[in-house]
Amino acid sequence: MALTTLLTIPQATVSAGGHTFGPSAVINSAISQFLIVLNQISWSNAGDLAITYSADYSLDGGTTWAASASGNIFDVPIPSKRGNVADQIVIACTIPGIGNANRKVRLVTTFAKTLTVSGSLEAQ
Amino acid sequence: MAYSFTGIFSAAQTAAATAITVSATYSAGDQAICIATYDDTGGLLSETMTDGTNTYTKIGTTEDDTVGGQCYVIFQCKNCAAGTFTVSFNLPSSRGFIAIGVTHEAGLSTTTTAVQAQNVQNNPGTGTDAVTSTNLTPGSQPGMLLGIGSADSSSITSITAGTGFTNEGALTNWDTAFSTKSRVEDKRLTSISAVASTFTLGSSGTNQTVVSFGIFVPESGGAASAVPELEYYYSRRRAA
Repeated sequence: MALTTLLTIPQATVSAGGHTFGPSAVINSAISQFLIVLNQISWSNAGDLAITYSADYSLDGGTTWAASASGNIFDVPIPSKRGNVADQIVIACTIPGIGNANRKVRLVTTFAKTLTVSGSLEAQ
Repeated sequence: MAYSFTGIFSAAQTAAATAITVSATYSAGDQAICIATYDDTGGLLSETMTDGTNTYTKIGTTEDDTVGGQCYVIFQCKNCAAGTFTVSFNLPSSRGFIAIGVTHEAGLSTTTTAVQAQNVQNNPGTGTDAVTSTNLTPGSQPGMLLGIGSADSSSITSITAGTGFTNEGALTNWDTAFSTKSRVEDKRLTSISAVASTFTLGSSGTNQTVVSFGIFVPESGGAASAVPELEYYYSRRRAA
């Protein structure tokens, strides 16, 4: 199934602190997978913590949220391994509740320092 | 009662990290056989898996696919508490191409440590069951032989379940994020003979490496070990 863009994150310099991208609009009820794509536009490659994140979904139109996956991202270059785009962060996780017509997704982040990113939330 | 395979949870990211988590829901007494991976640049690390409640024990050794450039490690939780947990794969320093996969099953022993075999093959070809974990010997039966295979090359078109195995799906989030192909399979064993998890690739080529694991866990209750059979054999010899 082809990727569907749920939300575009325009290129921006994001300051340290908490930032939430989304929520998306209600997503297609057949979608089962949620992708976060972030491009490292201006990073120092210092090797330290850059972002902590939670990839969240809602089954009730955005009233309540749960994390499908979470983790951290360090400020290091990403190689082009197996043809992946270099310096592109791809996070893939599952959206439960296939058939539910009230699902939304969002990306909740805490930036440890100021970084310039662009990206999107995608689904398939 | 025969065991049942009840699901897979997974998450993956290309960016370097010291932890990645996935939300996993268990029923009381579930078994969780988990696999995790990370980029091998810089060598092997000391890995842990945690969720704040359950205990995950590393099974076997870390498998380093030096051609594909990924390390793989298996963890077992023998007796999961009921509930939804944030299962975290943790590293002492950040690594890219990090991922977690959690399979869970009902009806397996809540006290027995899994028996495991693992293998890395370079260019195994497309022959039926050409991908093999190598043999493991179950200590008892009946039980579950779980197979997990990951093709570390974007040019491999597919990896399918081996002969006699049930296809339980793939680590889809790994495959999407990393451009890999994976397969999870299982088979109910009723013999203690040596056995391997096998898979079949859909294409062949150069620098195509496949990592595969076979993991055996006996069913809960009624497990029959090899010992009574040996005792019977020697009692017959003594009587003769």
